[in-house]
Amino acid sequence: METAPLDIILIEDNPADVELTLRALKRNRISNRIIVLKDGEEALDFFFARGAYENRPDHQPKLILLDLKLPKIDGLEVLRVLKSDPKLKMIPVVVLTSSRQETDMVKSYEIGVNSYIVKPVEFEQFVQAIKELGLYWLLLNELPKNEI
Amino acid sequence: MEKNNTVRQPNTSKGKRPFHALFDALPDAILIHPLKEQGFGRFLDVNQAACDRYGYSYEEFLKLTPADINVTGDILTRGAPRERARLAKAGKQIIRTKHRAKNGDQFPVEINSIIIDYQGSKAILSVVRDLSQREHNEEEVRRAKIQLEILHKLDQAILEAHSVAEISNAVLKNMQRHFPVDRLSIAIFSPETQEAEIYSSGTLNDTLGSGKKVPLQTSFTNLERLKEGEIVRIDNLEAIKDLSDVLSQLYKAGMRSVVNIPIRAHRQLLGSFNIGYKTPHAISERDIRMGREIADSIAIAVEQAQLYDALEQHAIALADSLSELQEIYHLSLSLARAQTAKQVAQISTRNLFKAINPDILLFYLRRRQKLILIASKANNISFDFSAASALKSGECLCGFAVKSKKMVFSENISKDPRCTRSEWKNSDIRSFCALPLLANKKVIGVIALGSVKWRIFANQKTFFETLANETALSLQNALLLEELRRHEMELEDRIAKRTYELMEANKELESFSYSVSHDLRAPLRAIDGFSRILSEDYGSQLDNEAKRIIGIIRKNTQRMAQLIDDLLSFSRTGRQILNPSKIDMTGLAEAIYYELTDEEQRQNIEFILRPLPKVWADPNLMRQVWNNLISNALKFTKTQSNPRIEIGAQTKENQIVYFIKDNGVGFNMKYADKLFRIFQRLHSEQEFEGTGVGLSIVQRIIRRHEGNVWAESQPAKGATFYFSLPLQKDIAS
Repeated sequence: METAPLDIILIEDNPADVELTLRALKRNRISNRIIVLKDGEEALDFFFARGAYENRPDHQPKLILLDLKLPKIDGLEVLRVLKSDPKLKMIPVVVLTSSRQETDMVKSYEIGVNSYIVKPVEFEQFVQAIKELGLYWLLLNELPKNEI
Repeated sequence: MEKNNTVRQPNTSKGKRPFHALFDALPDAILIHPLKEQGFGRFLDVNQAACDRYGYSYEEFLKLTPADINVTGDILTRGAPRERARLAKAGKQIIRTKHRAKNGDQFPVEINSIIIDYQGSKAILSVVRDLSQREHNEEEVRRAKIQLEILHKLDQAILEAHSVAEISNAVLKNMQRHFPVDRLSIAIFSPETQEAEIYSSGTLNDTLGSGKKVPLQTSFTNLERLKEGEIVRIDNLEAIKDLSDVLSQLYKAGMRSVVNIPIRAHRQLLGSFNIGYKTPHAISERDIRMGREIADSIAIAVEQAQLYDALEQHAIALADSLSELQEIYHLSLSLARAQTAKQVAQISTRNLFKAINPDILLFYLRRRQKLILIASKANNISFDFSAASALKSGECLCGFAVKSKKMVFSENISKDPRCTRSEWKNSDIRSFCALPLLANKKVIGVIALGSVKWRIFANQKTFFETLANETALSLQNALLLEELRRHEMELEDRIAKRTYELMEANKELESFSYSVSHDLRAPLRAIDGFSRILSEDYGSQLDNEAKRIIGIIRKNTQRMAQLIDDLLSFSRTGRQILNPSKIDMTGLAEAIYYELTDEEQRQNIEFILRPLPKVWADPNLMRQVWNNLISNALKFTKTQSNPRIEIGAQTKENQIVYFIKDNGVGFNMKYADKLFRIFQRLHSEQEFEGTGVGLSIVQRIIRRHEGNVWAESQPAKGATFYFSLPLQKDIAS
């Protein structure tokens, strides 16, 4: 099993979006290790180390990229669970969504999302958005170490 | 004294007496009889006057003793010895007694007696004076006095008495003392009821008295004679075979002679004044004379009393109609509060029960072919209310009221064939009345009234009619109101249902647009992203044509993305809840103009912004309106060398019309109707970019604010867009 620290968790069901996101991260030279989870249920199994992830290493990620529209358990629900867990709530969560629905944004912020990005259709803009996000959350925003 | 009184020895012949001429000439009767210790002796001598008065001849007289002419015991009979002793001692005496003549006539006498010597023996000489004439005169005076007194009392009775009964009793009470007869009575006749009311007095404890009523025709068999003013006199009841009921009662009470004296006024027979004696033939002319006078006085009094009664009846009737009016007023006042038919029924029942005072009152509401009991009130009587809870509308007496639309009266329901319901037949109710409640000539309800005692409800017909009308009016109103409320509720239900359906549809639409926004864009992103990857990673292997094609693919994905965004925005404006506030339109238009232009553009554009009235609207949506209209104006004046944009407003009667005018490319008016339709464009994508959603959004927003939007233009001469909003005067100024 993996022993190296996990840096970024990408929760996304659309393989095209996964590939584009990975490419955008790569283009921005964000070299953190990335693990992709396909739906909300898998994500929660992962974070609470159960099911298939029962024996995963105890490291928690530095950043979570979360799509809202997910099979089984949707993104907002995953966000709610993460933000109501005393340990997990410290991990920054960035919502990446296709939706321009204001209600989603309002709800996400209410639950305690750290950032909210509407995925642009144009690839260049997407790359730019990922770049800014990676810089901010992975490099600038230092978390209080003792709480992780 | 004795010497002075000594007369000569008489002879048996009158002529031989001394002072014989004088003796006989005296007008008073003179009787001489011997003074004896015991018994009477025969008359010794009498004068001519004595013979005349007593009707005996001189010879006959001398065979008599004083006991033969005396009626009662006195000095000459039982009390004689003591009286004679007194006479002997005093020598003279005056007494009064009653004597009888030969023919039986009795007459009062005053006897002046002296003791004389008559042929050597002591004798009594009595001068007898006949008092009957004097007594008659005295009696006349006494009677006249009584008569006056009675008449006076009658006059007083006239003044004091308020009813025939009171007059009768007053008369009887006063006369009893002064009129020595065995029975007096007054009968007052009532032509309406054909009855006589009898008031009587007297020591007799007879069954005819103090207001007892007897049938007129059978009790007063000689009514016709009485009417003519004749008296009806029966001198001996014994002699009559078939006695009427009243006469036989009188007979049993001991009466033997009776007389009816008519009491008449203005030739109308009011009654009769009746005198009765226990002895036959006891009625004297004097009784009749007196009776007539009393009857006349009673007639006057009774007439007065009857007038007074009539007056009182009028006063009572007046008071009655006043109280009836009051009841009607109370009823209509109370009914004004009623909202439902049930309330009308309850209020009417309460009020009518108080106003009419029956023993039972049932309030039926008519529902199609039935009468439904909705309110009732009753005294403590036995009545099966549950059986009466519903009737067929044509049934029983209430049904008659429904069919005839008229009041139905029944004085005795147990004998009324129209009354068919057993709960009525078996009840204690005797008199009955059903009042139909009429509205627009239709019976909408029935009020049933019943009385245990016999009662003529029809007497109060007008009053009942008014009460029923008042009730019917309110009932009709209440029924209409109830129907209205039912419709309202139905409508409310329908609205609630529609609203729910709409909300459901809205939710569905929302989740639909949510999906669109997510799911339509993800593939676009993939097309764009992978086209990009293709040109980046395999650019060296692609020729120029392949690169141009990839460019077209990417351009169209972006356009598709824009369409999706505009479509979502358009759908949002339709559903978004309006959140209005006061908007400074001048400030808003200016701010948006500055947002949409940069310094360089503004130098080139002639922008005229006139003061705009403030408006009450949703600020976010108004921002979109101005945003779309100003950006359109900017877009279509881009090609002009001197672009000009003017914004202004006109206040009309009840709306404000805002406009934005440009000198841009304009459009042909024949396409004006297409202008505001979604995805409709009048220019090519090459000329002017856009999705054709902007004006649709404007129209939708303005219409949601109860306004309108339209445009005027000519190709190449610019266009003017107008939109109107309702005027709120206090805000606009």
